[in-house]
Amino acid sequence: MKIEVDGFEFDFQNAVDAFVFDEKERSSPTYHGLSHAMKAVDLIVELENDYLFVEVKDFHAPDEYQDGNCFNHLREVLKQKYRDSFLYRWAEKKTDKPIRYLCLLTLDNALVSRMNKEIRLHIPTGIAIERWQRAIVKNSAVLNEERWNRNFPRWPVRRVADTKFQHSGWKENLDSGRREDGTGI
Amino acid sequence: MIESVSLTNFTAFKSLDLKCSAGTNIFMGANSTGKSLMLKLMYAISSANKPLEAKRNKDSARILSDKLNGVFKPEGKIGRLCHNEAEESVVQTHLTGDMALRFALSTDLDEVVVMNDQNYLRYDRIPVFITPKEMLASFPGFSSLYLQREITIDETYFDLCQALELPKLRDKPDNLVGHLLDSVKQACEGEFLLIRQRFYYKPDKGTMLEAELSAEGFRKFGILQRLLQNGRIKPGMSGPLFWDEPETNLNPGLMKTLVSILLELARGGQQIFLATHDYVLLKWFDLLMQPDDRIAFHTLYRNDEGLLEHNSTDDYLKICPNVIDDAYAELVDREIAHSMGGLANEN
Repeated sequence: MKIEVDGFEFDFQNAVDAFVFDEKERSSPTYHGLSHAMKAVDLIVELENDYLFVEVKDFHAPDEYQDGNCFNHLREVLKQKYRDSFLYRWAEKKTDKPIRYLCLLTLDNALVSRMNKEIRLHIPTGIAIERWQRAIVKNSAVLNEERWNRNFPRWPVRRVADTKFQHSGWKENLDSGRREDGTGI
Repeated sequence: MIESVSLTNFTAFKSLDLKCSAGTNIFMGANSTGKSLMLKLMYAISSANKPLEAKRNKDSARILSDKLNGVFKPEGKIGRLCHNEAEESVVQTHLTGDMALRFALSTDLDEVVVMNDQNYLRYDRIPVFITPKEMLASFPGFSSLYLQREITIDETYFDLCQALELPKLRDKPDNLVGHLLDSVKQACEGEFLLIRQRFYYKPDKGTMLEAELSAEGFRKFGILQRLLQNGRIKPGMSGPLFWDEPETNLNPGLMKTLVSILLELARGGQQIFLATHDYVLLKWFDLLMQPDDRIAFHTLYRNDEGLLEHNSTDDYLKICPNVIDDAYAELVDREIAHSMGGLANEN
């Protein structure tokens, strides 16, 4: 099941359903309708035994996220999106399967690793405390495109040409081949 | 300044053509890919012909051979530095302007053969090599030990001690050096002083203590401090600065300051060569560099046949292969496998 969001095309081959959760089109059956009040993750994918909440962020200047303030802001955005999406789905009575939160970010591996830790700290995973009877998220993972394809080979993602982010220079640089000489040095 | 280096059958390199930046050159790569070797070779070439040596009326073949022996410490003949499948090795380098040097090593000779030393004898910019292990703590007695005993510690350590021993310049430092000295002093929260052949650390607050008792990270800044104070690093005047693994024992929190200082040195006309394994150092270069900074990232790696090759780029994002980022990739993969259980890799 192919679905496109934010310049990326995902193929969830074993999905029962997949749709843009942050749908702005009023005529769509999955129109969100509460964007003014609630944040929303980009995609929701229903698998046989799980739901995936998928958030995609393609940055023009990923290096800015080395800065602590930007990094913390990004974490807060990812956290808020998950919480609001969970509440929305709870109200829909669509939290009947464990939920996994996947964030596809165009950051380098070191920042991805750091954000993984942050997200797990800020969105408690599983039965986080004895008083809880159920989890709000089964687990979460932050990945870049390369790590996504490596870890989820049956849900391949690729950059879609002709997106507004194509010239950000970030991922295309990561993927670029070797340059043989020291041109420009 | 070193403009380029070409190697044929030198140590692990079958062939290499490296164009150097006039600013900062950063060597990266896994272990045993020749980063330190490249730094040492370029240091040997640019330091062999310092004026003191030239005055001894040695020819370029002898002084080069002595320096290569001192820096690489090969057992037996210098021809050991040839690639193990070759009987002869050729090294060619272009220095500032019209100065060039081309020499060969042969497995059966104990001296290099100079084929071209165009104006090489006139090259008088003295480089400095900062070793991975700092030498302020080991300074007392090290030079005597090195001169009097057969030890396998290479000559870069001895040369560094010699450079550190030079007294401070009498003249007030120029604006750039003065500013950099302020930054260094702030980073190491004090000053290192050479008193009766021993270094001491005088903190901004507190009492003076032996350098050995000060923080090792501070001592790394102390080396920079001394070399700036005594003019061995003088942007625009001195030869290249080589620094092998500047990150060793340095608190990552001080890395931004270190990179800022290196960038300012380079902007002032100092050519710099670094070898590093450190993400934080590399990332700070990426974040702090200006469009006009001439930074070359040189990646050394082994190809599928096990031969050493290199890529150079001036764009941090185009570093390929990037072993530092790959190391983080492995961590991320492990984290995801751990957290996602069966969904990862088996989905």
